[in-house]
Parts: sequence; structure tokens; C-alpha cells
Amino acid sequence: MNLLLSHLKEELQGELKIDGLYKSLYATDASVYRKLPLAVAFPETKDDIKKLIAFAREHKIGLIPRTAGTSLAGQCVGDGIVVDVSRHFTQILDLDQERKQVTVQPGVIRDELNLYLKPLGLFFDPNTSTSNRCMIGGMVGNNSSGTTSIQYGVTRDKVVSLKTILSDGSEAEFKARTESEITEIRKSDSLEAFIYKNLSKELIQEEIINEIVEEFPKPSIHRRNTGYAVDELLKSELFGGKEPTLNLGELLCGSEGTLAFTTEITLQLDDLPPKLSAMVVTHYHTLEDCLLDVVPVMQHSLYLCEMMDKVILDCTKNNRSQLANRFFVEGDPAALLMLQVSADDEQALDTEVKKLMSTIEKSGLSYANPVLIGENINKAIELRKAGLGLLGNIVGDMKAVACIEDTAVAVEDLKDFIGEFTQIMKGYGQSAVYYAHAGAGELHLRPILNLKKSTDVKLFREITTDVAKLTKKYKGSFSGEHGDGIVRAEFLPLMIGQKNYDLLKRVKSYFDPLNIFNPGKIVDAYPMDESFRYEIDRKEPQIETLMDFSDSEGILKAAEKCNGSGDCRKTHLMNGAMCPSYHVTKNEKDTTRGRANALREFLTNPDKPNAFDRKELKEVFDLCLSCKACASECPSNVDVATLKAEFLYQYQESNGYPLRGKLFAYNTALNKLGSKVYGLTNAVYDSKMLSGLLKKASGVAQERNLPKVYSFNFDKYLQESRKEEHKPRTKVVLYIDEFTKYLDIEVGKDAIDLLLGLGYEVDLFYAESGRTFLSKGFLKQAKRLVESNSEKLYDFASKGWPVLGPEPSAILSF
Amino acid sequence: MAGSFGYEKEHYETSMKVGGLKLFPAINNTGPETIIAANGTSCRHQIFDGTKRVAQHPVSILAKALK
Repeated sequence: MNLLLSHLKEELQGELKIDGLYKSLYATDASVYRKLPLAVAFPETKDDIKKLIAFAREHKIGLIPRTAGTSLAGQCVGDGIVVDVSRHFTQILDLDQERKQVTVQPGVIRDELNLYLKPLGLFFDPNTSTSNRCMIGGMVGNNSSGTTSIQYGVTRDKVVSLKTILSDGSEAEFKARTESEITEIRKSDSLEAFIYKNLSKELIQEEIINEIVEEFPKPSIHRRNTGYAVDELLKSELFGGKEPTLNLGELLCGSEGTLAFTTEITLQLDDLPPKLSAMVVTHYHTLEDCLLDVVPVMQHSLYLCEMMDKVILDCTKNNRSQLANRFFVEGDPAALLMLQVSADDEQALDTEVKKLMSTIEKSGLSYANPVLIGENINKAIELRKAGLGLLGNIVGDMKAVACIEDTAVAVEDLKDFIGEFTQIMKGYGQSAVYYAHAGAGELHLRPILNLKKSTDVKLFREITTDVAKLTKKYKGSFSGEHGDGIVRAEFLPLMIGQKNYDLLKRVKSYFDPLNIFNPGKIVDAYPMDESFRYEIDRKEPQIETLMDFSDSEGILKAAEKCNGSGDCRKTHLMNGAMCPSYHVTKNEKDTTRGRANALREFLTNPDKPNAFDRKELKEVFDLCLSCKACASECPSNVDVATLKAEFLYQYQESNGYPLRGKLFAYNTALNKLGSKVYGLTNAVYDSKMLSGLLKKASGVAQERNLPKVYSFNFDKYLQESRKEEHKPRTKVVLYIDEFTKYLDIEVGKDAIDLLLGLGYEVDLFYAESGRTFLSKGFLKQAKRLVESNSEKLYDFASKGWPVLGPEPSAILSF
Repeated sequence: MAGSFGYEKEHYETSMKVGGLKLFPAINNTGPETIIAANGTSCRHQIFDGTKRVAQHPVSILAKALK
């Protein structure tokens, strides 16, 4: 197969990766599953995709389409070729302002599309928690929804047209077609004609229509992602409905890439929401009270009706970037609802709020109802969005796992449904996490299980089966928006009945008779309790580290904290700094997730006694700047800078410490030496030729100037700057680090001036911080410095003297 | 710059590209009267290399304000 793949590689314009690193990076998404793919393709053109399809047909292998890879149900996990269109299919192709429609390639990011549309007064609504990195292709594949669907609908409602490549390599555009257009298409002998002929033959049969109406989820549940949406097609006049056209694009929405390969998407846009919004956050002592309130509040025209429970709120208490967003929480609510109303002017908004408040007061179930406006609404929404990622933050192997996390029932059924749901969970000893798009009747509830253990894997199946049955009882949708993927697909016969399931299988066979498009999803699905991210009942690998990873229970579990939510795939156009290397390269290997995944893979499956001794790991950590953006922005608190330092140390222990690493690590010693003869040193640095040679020999970029070194007596400077004063002064310790001492002496002088000027008594503390050692993986040397420094720091602390320093990287080394 | 990262010859280009995404344009969009503040030594070096503007440590700005 590798030979065949290398031939394919030569044929493609885009890259085809068949090495172990890329297979590892693309073995997982944000679900609990893992399958090593055969290869990862990055097609550049439609022709590349056609070649991939031809290859898949010839060799009977699957093509797994992928954009951001943040699917929760295992949609992107498979053993064929992963086709990543996030790199080259990223263009906004056309905008029709009159019709308010935009045409994009599948790799356009949802929030970036809206950034582009905003000046035009338009936007694409479906608003997932992943909106700052998820891509339109993935949203179509999953029929994504999100918080505002109660006002605007789901992705399926927005898809005007899909241009696709079919499983035989032919092209077809699916959009609203009239009967006569379809008659015309059916005249050819194309695969497209075959699809129309067969679907029409099926869906005109009364027995089949009745079966769909009988068994599919209630149509009032607007979030339904259960199997192929054949129920939507019944809206067409052709099959007894009221719409004059038939749009098979609606069927492709939510088909998880199993029917056709989409290359262009035309979306219907909405006018930007009213300018002014207010959010009432109702607080409840019990979950039941909260759910009871959903029905009356949904009588209002809400833009959001979201629920968060105590468990999720508590998660945000330990996240640095989310603490500030908790400002609106009063007391310790068991659950709260976030209810947003919008209007174009103050008066209308005020009326909306008053109407809503009177409903809330009438029910009297909530104990506090703060009203948020302006930026505060966004903060509250941020907190809720972060909830999904933060759920992965439970230290250790117990995780809130996605399996039954996406049920949707009619709003009026929500309370009873959750009541029975809670009983089921109690029966399993589970204290469930309630996180709901309450207004849409959708519950994001995850059991907490350790899927490394066979006993919990058994529970995983049992709980999922029980909840599937309960959802069926309420005629709900087992997936509201996350899709069937691997975890829910095998329950489809239960959810929609065997006859409908057989219909779906026939639908699949019309589109993709050779089963090359994302096999194992929706029909003939992979079992939901196999192919997990971790080998079941494995002996936990013991990995010794020099740094202390005990707060994550070891370095492997520190890497396993990554749940794949892919927050690190947002680009520089979004807020936040994570991850600068990805911002530049747009390569999965340069994301926080890629680094955590690679570390998890290679530490779990070592090929040498030193598991860190892998060139693949060197490759993923190479572009990490150690900026620590991930440490505060990653919702799962993956801290790559720390992982990298440990990796570098371990890797260099086996492979030796390179000269340049030594030069940088021992830079302070060199500067000390240089500063003794600083005139000479700086003359060398100033000389183009000499510094050029020096840079060349040491692997330093020629474009950079070497920082000049100085020798300066700070003690003397402090002595001379002190003024005689008699009033008592507060004492502070000014830390003169290695950078301030030899390179940035002016900053050190300014710090002395400032502190004396402000009336402090200043003592100086000279020490090398260990930063240069830390950043080059010289951990033993760094540790010695940190230990000797901390003794002195304890001494200052015990005397109550604050220690101040100008250089953050030095201070943070402590 | 990220400490030694941006000095390393194989990382120089990445380092300048990172700076070029947001930081350099933001600084280039300010007039010469705008004081640029950055508290890291290598941050100031990177700003100079990317924009030819001298960034000052906040401590230096405060010390000047006090004089």
C-alpha cells in the first residue's frame, strides 16, 4: 500500500502525508475515538479530490473529509485517507448582496466569514461553541446549530446550494430543483440522474412516507441530526409536501461526508441581529425549577435560551481566563438560564425586557434575575462557550465523555425527559453535568467515565443504550447537532426503526455504492465501544520526568488533557494569542492540540527506552515559542511550554546538547565574560564581518543584531541615587536579573529611579534566573538555579519584603 | 522573538511572520508621538527589528514621567 500511496503522492498537486507523525495527528478529533488513518491528504484543487476518489475506488479504501476536526462523535476518525480541506479550500468565492447569499469553499472559518460579512450588515448565523475555528464544510457535514438556532435555524436551513464531487468522480450541484429540472437531469446516464431516479422512486411510496412520519423525531424539534434527513425531503411537492422544489443539499447537510465530497457551499445569510440586546440571567436553587421556567420564557422572541448548571459553573472557577467572566453569578445556583432579547432601539428593548421579566416574576421560580447589557453579555456567552472545553478539565482519567450529550426533545417534554434522564443516571451512580440549549429542548449532558477501564466501557454502552431508548420514548432526536459519528450511528435502527434504517442504507448506496465516502458512519457503522483513544485496561505507562507534573498526575496525563476541541486552531484574526506558530503555518502539527496529541501517541507507544527520543516530537515542538498562551487560553489547560522544556531535556539527554543550545543556555556566563571586556565585545558585534562569522558559526540569523553587553555597577548607582530622608519608607527588593544586568542596564537604572522616586527603600538582589537553561531544555542547570534562588526569595518573603523585577521571563522562571 | 527563538536562523522567518500578523502592523499604524511599551527584553528587540521603532519598558516610561 505504501508504494501505491507514493505513486498517488506524485500525482497530487497538494501534499500527501504517509509518515507516522501525520497519521498520529489525524487519528483523533474531539471525540473519544482513535483510528490511525492510512494517509493524510491536503488537496489543492478539485482535480486532486477527483484523483483521491479514483484511488479510493480502485483500492476500496475510505476518504474521510475533514476541516477543523472538532467533531464530538468521531465523524473524522477512520482508517482510510483523511482529506483535510482546511489548508487550501479557504476562499470566499462570491457574494450576492441582493439575494444575501455567499459562496464559500469548505475550509472557510465561520467567524472569519462573519468578519467579512459584518460591514455589509449580513451574517451567517449557526453559532457553535467552536465558531472561531470551525469551518463551513464541517458545519454542513454535521448540520451544525448552536446557541441562536431558536431565532435563526440550523445550517440546513441556510444551505442554498452545494457543489460536490460524487463517488464516481463526476460533479453535481445540489440545490432547490423544480420538477421539470429534475426530469431534465434524469434523462442523462450520470450518477446524479441515478440518485434522483432512485430517491424519487423511494419517496413517492406511501408506505415509506408513513414510516418516516411515524418513526422520525417530532418535526417540532428543529434540531434533528438523526441519520439522513429524508424527513426533510418530504416537504417537497414531489413527495406530497408543500414546497414546489426539491433540494438534495438538505439531505447532504448532516450526512457527515458519507454521500458526496463538497467543494463549494452557497449559504443564505441573515441581516445582522438588532443592535441592542439585554440578557436576563435567571438563577435557580434546583434544576427542576430551571427546566420548568423554559416553557413560559420560550413564549418570548428570544435570541438565546441557554442553561448552565453548577458543575460547569464550578469548572470555570479554576480557569484563569474565565474567572473574570463569572461576574454576573449570584450565590451558588444549581442552574441558571441565559435569556437574550434584542431590539433596534432602547425603548423597544426595554419593553422586551419588561415583558420577559413579568413572565419570570409570574412563575416565581428563580431567586435572582440580573440583567446584563453590552459587553457583559459577551462575557457571559464566553463563559458558557468555554464550558464545553472546561469539562475536560477533571484531573486524571475520569472524563466527562460525549455519548448521550446531544439529545433533543420537544421543549414541553424537556422537564419530564430530564427527570427520567436523571433517574437513569442515578441508577448508574452518575452525577450528571447539565449543559443545555434549553430553548431548543437540547441537553448536553455527559456521564463521567474512565474509558481506559473495561468496566466503564461497559457502562458507556449501557448508559448510551438506555438514553437512546428514553429519547425514542419522547420521539426525540438522539443527536440534536453533534451528529451520529461513531458513537450514535449504531443506534439508528432503534431511533428510526429498521425499515427507515434500511432506507438510509439504500440512500447511501445510490450516492456511494462502493462505500468510499467516510465508511463506518451513519450506516453500517463502527461499533460505539471499540477504537477508543486509549487501549482498554492498559498498564499505565510510567514516565519519569525531571519537572513536576503531579498536578496532572504525570506528563502523559498532562498531554491527555487535550480533548481535541481545537481552540488552538483559531487564526490571528480572532481574539487571543494561542497559538502563534499555527497562526503562521496553518499546520495541525503546530497547534497546541497537535503537540499534545503527538506527545500522547509517542509516549504511549515508545520505540526506545527513552520514549521522548523521537524525531517526530522534535518536529512538533520545533516551532513552539514557549509563549505560554496555551497555558491560559487552552480550555483544557494544556501547557505546551512546560511539555516542551521537559521534552527538550529528555531528548537531549539521549541525543546530546547541540552547540547553539549551549551558547544560548550559557548566554549569561558568556555575557558576564563579554561584559568584562565589553568594549571589545561590542566592537566585534558591531563589525559586520566578525559578527557575521560569529552568527554563522553559532546558527544565529544574519538579520539579527547581537544585543550589546555592558558592565554596570548598580550598587554604586543605587548608593548615589539615594536621598537622605527621615520618614519611614517601605522596603522593596529589586531583582536585577541576567538580562537587566548585562544587556538592559537602562531599564535597571530606570527601575531604581522609579522606586526611589516613589519613596521606597530599595535593596538589590542579583541572580541568574535560569530562563536561558529552561528554554533550551537544560533542566538540571535550571533547577539548581531555581532552587538556590528560591532560598533567597523565601528569606525576603519571610521578612515581608516585596520582590520586584523588570524582566517577566526571568521572574516567571521562579 | 520569544527569547532565543527568533535569533535562531531556521526560526527567524517564522518569528518575523508572527510579528507581522498583528504586532508590527499595530505599531506601524501609530504615529511617532505614540510611546510603544513592552516589558520583555526580547519583545523590545523584536519590535525594533520589525518596525525600527524603539519600545520602552513601562518602568522607563514611568520613571521619565516622575522626573
